Order: sequence, then C-alpha cells, then structure tokens
Amino acid sequence: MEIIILTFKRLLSALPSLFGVLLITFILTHALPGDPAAYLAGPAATNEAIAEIRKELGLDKNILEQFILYVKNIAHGNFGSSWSTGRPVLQELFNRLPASLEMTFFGLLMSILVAIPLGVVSATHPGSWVDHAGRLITTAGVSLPYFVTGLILVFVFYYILGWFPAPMGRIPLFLSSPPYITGFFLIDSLLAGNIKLFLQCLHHVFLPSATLGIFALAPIARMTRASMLGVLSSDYIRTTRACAFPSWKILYIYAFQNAFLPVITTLGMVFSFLLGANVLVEKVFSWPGVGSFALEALVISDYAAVQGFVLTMGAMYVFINLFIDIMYGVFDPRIRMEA
Amino acid sequence: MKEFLSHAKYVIKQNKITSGAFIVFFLIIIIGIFGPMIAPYDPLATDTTKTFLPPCSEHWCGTDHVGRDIFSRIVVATQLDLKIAVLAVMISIFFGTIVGCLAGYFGGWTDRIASRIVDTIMAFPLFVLAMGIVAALGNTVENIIYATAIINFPFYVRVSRAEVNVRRDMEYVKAARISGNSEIRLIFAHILPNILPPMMVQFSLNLGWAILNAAGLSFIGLGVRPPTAEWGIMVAEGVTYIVSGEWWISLFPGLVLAFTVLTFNFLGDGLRDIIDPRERT
Amino acid sequence: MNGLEPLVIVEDLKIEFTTRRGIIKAIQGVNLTIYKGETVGIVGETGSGKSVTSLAIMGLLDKNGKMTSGKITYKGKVIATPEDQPMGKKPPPELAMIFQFPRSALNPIRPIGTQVVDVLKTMENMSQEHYKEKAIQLLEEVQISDAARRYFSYPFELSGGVCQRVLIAMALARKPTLLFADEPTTGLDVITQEGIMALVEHQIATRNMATVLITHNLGLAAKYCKRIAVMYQGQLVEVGDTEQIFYEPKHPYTVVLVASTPARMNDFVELSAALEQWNKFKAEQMPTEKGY
Repeated sequence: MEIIILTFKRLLSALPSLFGVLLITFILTHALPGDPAAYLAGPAATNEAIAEIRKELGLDKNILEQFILYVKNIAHGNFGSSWSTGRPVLQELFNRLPASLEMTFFGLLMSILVAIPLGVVSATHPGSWVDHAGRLITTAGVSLPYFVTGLILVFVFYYILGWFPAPMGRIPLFLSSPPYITGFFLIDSLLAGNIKLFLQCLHHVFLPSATLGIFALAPIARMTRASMLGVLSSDYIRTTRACAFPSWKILYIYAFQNAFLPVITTLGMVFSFLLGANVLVEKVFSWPGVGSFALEALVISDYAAVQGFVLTMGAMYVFINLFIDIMYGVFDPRIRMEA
Repeated sequence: MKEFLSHAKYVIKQNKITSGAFIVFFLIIIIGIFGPMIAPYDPLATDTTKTFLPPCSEHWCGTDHVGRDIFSRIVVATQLDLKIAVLAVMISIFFGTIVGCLAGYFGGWTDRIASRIVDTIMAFPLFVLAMGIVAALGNTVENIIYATAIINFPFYVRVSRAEVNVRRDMEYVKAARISGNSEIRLIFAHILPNILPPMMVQFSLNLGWAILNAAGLSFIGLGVRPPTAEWGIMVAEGVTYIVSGEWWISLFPGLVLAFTVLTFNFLGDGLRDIIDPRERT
Repeated sequence: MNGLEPLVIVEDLKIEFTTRRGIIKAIQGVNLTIYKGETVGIVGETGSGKSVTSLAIMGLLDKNGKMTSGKITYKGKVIATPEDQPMGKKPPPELAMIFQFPRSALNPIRPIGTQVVDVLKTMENMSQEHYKEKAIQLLEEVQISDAARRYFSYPFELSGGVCQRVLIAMALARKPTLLFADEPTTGLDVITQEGIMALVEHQIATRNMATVLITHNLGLAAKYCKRIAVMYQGQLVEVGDTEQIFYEPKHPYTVVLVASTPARMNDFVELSAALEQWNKFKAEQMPTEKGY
C-alpha cells in the first residue's frame, strides 16, 4: 500500500524533470538561430515541404504557442518524420530501442554479476589479493575509454582468438530474427523454443555488452565495497555477533541487505550513463540500436530524427531514476513509510 | 606557502603512483606545447606508397590507410585534445562556480532555480545532449567545446554550491559582513579564495573526463573532422581496419588516450590527498 | 566469595590495539572474577578499558586487538589465551551483551519481531509459528505494550527505550547466566532509565542471572550493583563491595571518583517510594495514557 503512495509521490516529483526535458528539446529545435523548418525538412526538401512543416510546427505563431503545440504533438506521439526514411520518428525509435536496451541490460547484468561479489569480498577480506586485483581491474576498466575497450575486445577475441563473431550486428547474416514478441532477441528466441538461435544471439551480444559492462564495473564494485565496509562496522552487526548469528546470516541477510541500498542508486546512475555510452559502442559493433540510428541521422542532417532521439533518451533517464527511487522504497522501509 | 609545498612533497613521495602521475603530466604538457615541433613527420602528409605499414623503425606506430605517420599524428593531436578539454572545463568552471556560489550563498529561489536547471541538464546523457547541440548549432569544434562545457557545468555548480553553503556561516564570513562588505564582495573576495583548493581538485579530476568526452565526440564524427589529427578521430578512422588486422591505426591513439586519462585521474586523486586527506578512499 | 560459584575468571589480562598511531595498551593486567547471580559494576572514565574487558570475554574484540597475556575461563573452561585470541569467535553460550545507543544496534530494515526470532533460531528448532509466539512472549516479558502488533514494527518507529527493551529481549532469548550491559541507559531520559534498570533488576531476580553493569555513572552503579570494580587506564585499581567503595575507598582514584559523584545514598530510598506513588496515580487518574 505504501508503495503505491510512494510511486504516486515520486511520479509527481518527476513531472518537473520531464517538463525540463521537453523544454530543452524544444529550445534545441525551435529557439535557436536558423530556420527550424528547413532543418527538419532536410537539405533535399522542396519549398512546399518546408512551408508545410512550418505550418505544422506553428512557426508563424509566438513562442509560447509553439511550445504548447510542441507538447501537444509529443503527447500524441508525433515526434515528426524522418525525411530520409519517410516514416514517423517515433516508429523508427520504437523499432530500434529493444536492440539498444538488450545490449545495455545484458551489459549491466554482466557487470553486476562480477562487481557485487567483488565488492563484497573486497570488504570482507580487505588487503587480500582479491581486494587488490579487484581494485586494479575496476580502475583500469573505468579509465579506458569504452570505445577503445570495445576495439580491444574485438581485436583480441574476434580477430586473434576467433571466439566471438564479427562485429556486424545482432545475429549472423544467414539467420532470421526470432518472431517478434518483446523485441529482445534473447527473450524472443527462448520463448520460441529455439535454443540454437538463442545461443547465436548470445554469442553476438556478448562482446558489445561486455564493453559496457567493463566500464560499469568500477562504480558498482567501489560502491558495494564502501557500503559493505561501512555496514560491517555498524552497531547492529555487532549485535548479530553478540547474539552468535551464523556467518551467512550476518553477511547476506543483515549486512548485504543494508549495504545494497546505496548500490541501487549507483545502478541507476550507471544505467543512465550507459544509455549515453550506447552510441559509441553501437558504432564499434555496428549494432542496430537507437544510437546508431541517431548517428546516421545526424550525418545526413535528418534533424527530426536526432531531436526525437534526444527527447527519448532524456525521458528515459527521468523514468529510470523514477524506477530506482521506487525500488529504493521497496527495499528500505524507512523511505516507503515517510508518507 | 612553504608549508603547503613541503606537505605536497611529502604526500607525493608517499604515493609512488601520484609522483609518477605528476611526472607524466608534465611530459604531456611539454608534448602538448612543443608537439608540432618534435613530430618526426608532417601529420597531414599522405603517401600512398606507404599505407598500412605496421610499427617499424621508421614509423614507430605504423602508418594509416593513406600513409600518414601515426606517431606524429598522435604527438600533434596532444595539443588539440588538451586545448579542447582545458577550454571546455575552464568555461564550465567559470560559469559553474559563479552560479554555484550565488545559489549556495543566497539560497531560496536562486538556489531552487539553479538546482532545477542543473538537474534538467543532468537528465541528458552526455553524448545525447552533445548530438542535440551539434544538430542545432552545427558541427564545429567550438560547438563541441560548448557542448562539453554545458555537460560539465552542473557538476561545478553542485560542488561550489556545497562548499559555499558550508562556509557561508563561518566566523570569518560573519566578521567580513559586519565590517561592511557588500554581499557580492563577500562571496567573491572572501569565500571564493577558500573554495579554490577543492575546486582545483575537481578541475584535475574533470580534465581526464573532459578529454575522454572530447575524444568520444570526435569518434562519432562530431566536431573535429578529417584530416585533422585528434585521438578520437584517429581511433574512428581505424575501426574498419581492426577486423582485417591492422590494429595499430586505432589502438595506438586509443592507448595514448587511455593513458592520458589515467594520468589525469591519478593526478586528481593525488591532488585530493594533498588538499584534503580526509577524502581518501 | 560467600559460597557463590565463579562464572568467569579473568587472570592477568593484557590487551593491545594496533592503530595507525602505534600500539595502544588498552588493558594492562586485569584480574577479575564474576560470580553466579551477582550484579557487579565496572566503572571508570572513557578509555579506562571497562568495555574492552567485557568484549574480550564475549569474543567480540576488534580485529586490531590482541591479547598479549593472561587467561579467561568460563565455568572452568578456558575460553581465551594469547594462543586462542578472543576475536571473531562466537560468544560462549549463556553469555549475552547489550550496548549503548539501542536504536542503531538494531537492523534498521528488519522488523524487530523477526530479529528476536533470529536469535531464537540460534537456540533451538521450532516451527515458524512457535518462533513467533515465543518472540511475542519475550517482547511482553520486557514490558513492551501491544507486543503482538509491535512485532512488525521497525526500529525507526520506536523510541530509544523500547529499542533497548527489544535488545534485552534478544539477550534474554539466549537464556544467559551472565549479561553484560555496556552503558545501557546512557543517552536515554531519566524516567526511561529507571524503567529499563527496573526491568533488568526484575529479570536478574527471576532468572538468577549475573550482570556486569559497565557505566561511567557511579550513582547508577551504586544503586544496582553489589560489587564495584574501578578501572583507570587499563588497570583495575580497586574492587570491593559497593558500601566499602563508597564509604571506605582505598585507592586515591576511587576517592576522587566517589567525591565527584552528586548522588547521595539516601535519595535512592526516597526515589523508589516516589515512583510507587506516581505509578499508583497514573493507574488511577490517567488510565488512557499509553505508556512508552
């Protein structure tokens, strides 16, 4: 029950941020020098096309009315049309979003599976070789620019070792994608019962996800370690020792559950960051996601597509933070009962 | 001042990594300043007879797809990358500190508005916003600098706001206020000098980040264009050749980039240890 | 001593802590015996080592602490020597400890009832229902009103006094023959202090439990302890019956300690009479007051 109230409250406080996102995207589109209609119509547009867009955007009206019109359009799902493909921007983004999300989620998952145990062991055995090795790896991981990491991975694991396929997309060229249910190939191929396809998709998504994951290792491991260290020296852990609790209970139920809370926040920050980093990794691996879509659009001056991309990413960030806030409330009764 | 220097020397000696970072840092600066003069070859000179040469004695890092010497290009690129990063960070710091100081000192609506703006900017992943800005303003190096500056701006606002908040009610500020100083003078003549040390730490930590951003942006084709020599662009140019085995075109610039960022990160950590040992992790 | 059997014998205990600033000799040769069923107080200033001794007996010593000489026995069995260090081990069964700052001594994101059950689970196996019943019983025993509902409360919803009672319940769940109470009421308001100490006294009487009361409040020690041990900078300067410590202090430090205590022995008789009156008044004239 409290969760619902919390969700509602957090939703309300997210509205100003959403408004800010809309505002900034609007400024980028409409309020800058130059003729927005010409931008959005593209270099090959005819004068009639430009005039039509001008009317659609209401560029002849004053700025406030333009903004209202803009918001109304967005609310109706009208993000404009990509002049190069002719299709609505929203549809294009929608088609390509699952590819980006799949890579990002999988990368985050890989990172969590390594970083959190690393952080916990670092905290419970400070000064051990695991602790030192972990800190070295994570610092190196975060200092290497992720596009360079991606290239190194491709070079070593594809070119030299041949363990992974060429960086040319989500599935081998000769295979067709699984029947569309979620758009996530990994999930869809499992749902279709096609294990061979699943393994192929896994094979292809591994290196791009690893690239993102390596970068995310450091903040997650560091936060887990710091958090665990703090918790392990707390008064309530001393109580568990005085009451002779079994070690597993002290560590996993009492310590870790408390230490995990700040890590949730870090996960949110990391995920948002990875969303932005997507663009570069998609370029290295020729991954057909929203990032590469926006890049191609930028190169050919398809500005409507780019603006749609910017708006979508900004909005996603707001929603991810919202989700993280609510998750925090799920795990921490102090937060969810503040209502 | 003498005490500060001897304390600095002590910390640096203590931590080999920090001393190493300082040395490399100066090296990078020197290369940055004198780069074009020390480069063995003209970074823009193409030679179609000498394309795709692997690293050898004449070309330490090999040549690229149009026969340019990669080592020379890396050396010359140092200047450009440093320039972009430093300019961007300085713009950020300048505006960010002013806004942060005002917000931290006056609180109330100033603070609320500033915080809202900052939060909204932070809602956009860097590259997304940069792409948006470039799409709106055009694909030039200046715009990249502005985009990077805008991305970093919220960070400095937050830091300076927090620092000013802490010091706002300290004794020396109260004393200055009583002796008749105007509010603005108070902020900028009295409080600001005291928050400079922590800001300096943020500056050096941020510099590595700014270099990474600049290179990343040119990697995706924003800002710097061929045939200019810049680390990010060089990595981008070599991407297609990784799969055919010509690794040196991308990897050398990439590693130099990584190494530089690492240096600045360690430098920032070292500076932080010198200035505020409590913050050590 | 008066035919009581010794529970814990501490012989020539020396403990050192390794810190960044060098080695600190926290305990420098302490000899102490704790007898069955008695309430003994350990008093001294901060840093005198009164907590460390108890932590060593419980096996809760910090990792940077080291026992450099001496021996600790419990019920005749040796539980700590320099070869068998008192840290990172499970406390001996039938020994329990409660600490200062009760609210932070409880897991903030776990209902208190579950935490009591967690202690019960280390003692014996029962069905889930039984655990819950027993936990509620314990909560009632420590005089927490509305125990069945409070079972599901979180520490942040409860006052400091109630939190301390929960911790006492968790300690009692271990069926201890000896309870260490390290500054259990410091930081709580005076009235709550009275309530907690009264509860502890009651439990001591019903369970014939020995108690070590560690405190810097000499008046508190005077009121509840039969014997008092005075510590100063890691050394035990004097041990004796409470009357003797107060009226015939032998060690110069004890003299100073006693002299600086504002409490007078007479007050304590008047206070209990006054408390009785107040409870009567409360029950008759203010029946809607919830208490706690």
